[in-house]
Amino acid sequence: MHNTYRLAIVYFTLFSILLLVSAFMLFFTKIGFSIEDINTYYIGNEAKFMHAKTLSGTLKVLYPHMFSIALFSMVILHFVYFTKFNNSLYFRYLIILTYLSIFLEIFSGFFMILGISMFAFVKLASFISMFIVFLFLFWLILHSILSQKK
Amino acid sequence: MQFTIVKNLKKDSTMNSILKGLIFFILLYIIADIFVKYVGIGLTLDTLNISLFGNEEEYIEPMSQALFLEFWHTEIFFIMMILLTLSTVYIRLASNIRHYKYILNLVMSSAIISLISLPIAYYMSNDFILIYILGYFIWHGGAIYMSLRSLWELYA
Repeated sequence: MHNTYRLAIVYFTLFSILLLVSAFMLFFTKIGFSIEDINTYYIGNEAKFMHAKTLSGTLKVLYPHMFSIALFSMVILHFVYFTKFNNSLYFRYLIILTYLSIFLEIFSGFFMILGISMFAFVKLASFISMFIVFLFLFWLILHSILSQKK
Repeated sequence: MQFTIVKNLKKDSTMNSILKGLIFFILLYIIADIFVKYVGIGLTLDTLNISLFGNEEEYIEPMSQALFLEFWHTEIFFIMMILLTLSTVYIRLASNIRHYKYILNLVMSSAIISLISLPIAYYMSNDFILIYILGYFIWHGGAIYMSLRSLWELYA
């Protein structure tokens, strides 16, 4: 690999950390980190004068994320593929875990407005697992690049 | 990213044409982004201040926290994807230029600084708007240079 590509990948990883921070702040501001907050956000709460999310409103958020998170995950995972961790069995589990957590994260809101309220827990769990998986992938990339001799 | 493993991009006419098209559209996007931001949130201290914090005299509402975070989140995604693609092509084509790493570092770090300074400006101190604007123009200028230089190398 051209040495300077490593530099571009390090910068990309820094951007990715910023993206994750912004996602965390958005989740915290718009939804909240408790099961009750998530239920209120999607199903609504009359006492708090909060309307339930509509199908079209949920699809507006879900639709662009289907492609963009998948693309982002593919780019990050493919960078990890070029590190020394690519052949390990846990990398394959990590790939499955990444795609599974992003699937559940983006679709659980949709299932909630269809009336399956247990997905509030799935939403929270999948967001946290997605967050941890991405942080771990970033660490693998940065560790692999920064520990390499020039 | 097949172009990263093609031995001589200048001699591979098919890959050469594909990259010319890609870089042309990246260049268009970067230039269009300046106009979109100028019309949308503004690119001067005053206009950006009004977009973020509103103006009571003109009855302009401040940008809500949720809207601001959505804007920031989308910005980060587009900038990182554009700069990753552009830098990959630029590194492949312009690594013979003496200052190419310097340009790359300048563009990437100014883009990151401008993106970090935006929420600091919104949540802490509006003095950081100036840093956002400076960073914004530095990375746009650098990215336009990188695009033009890559096109130059493809046509040479």
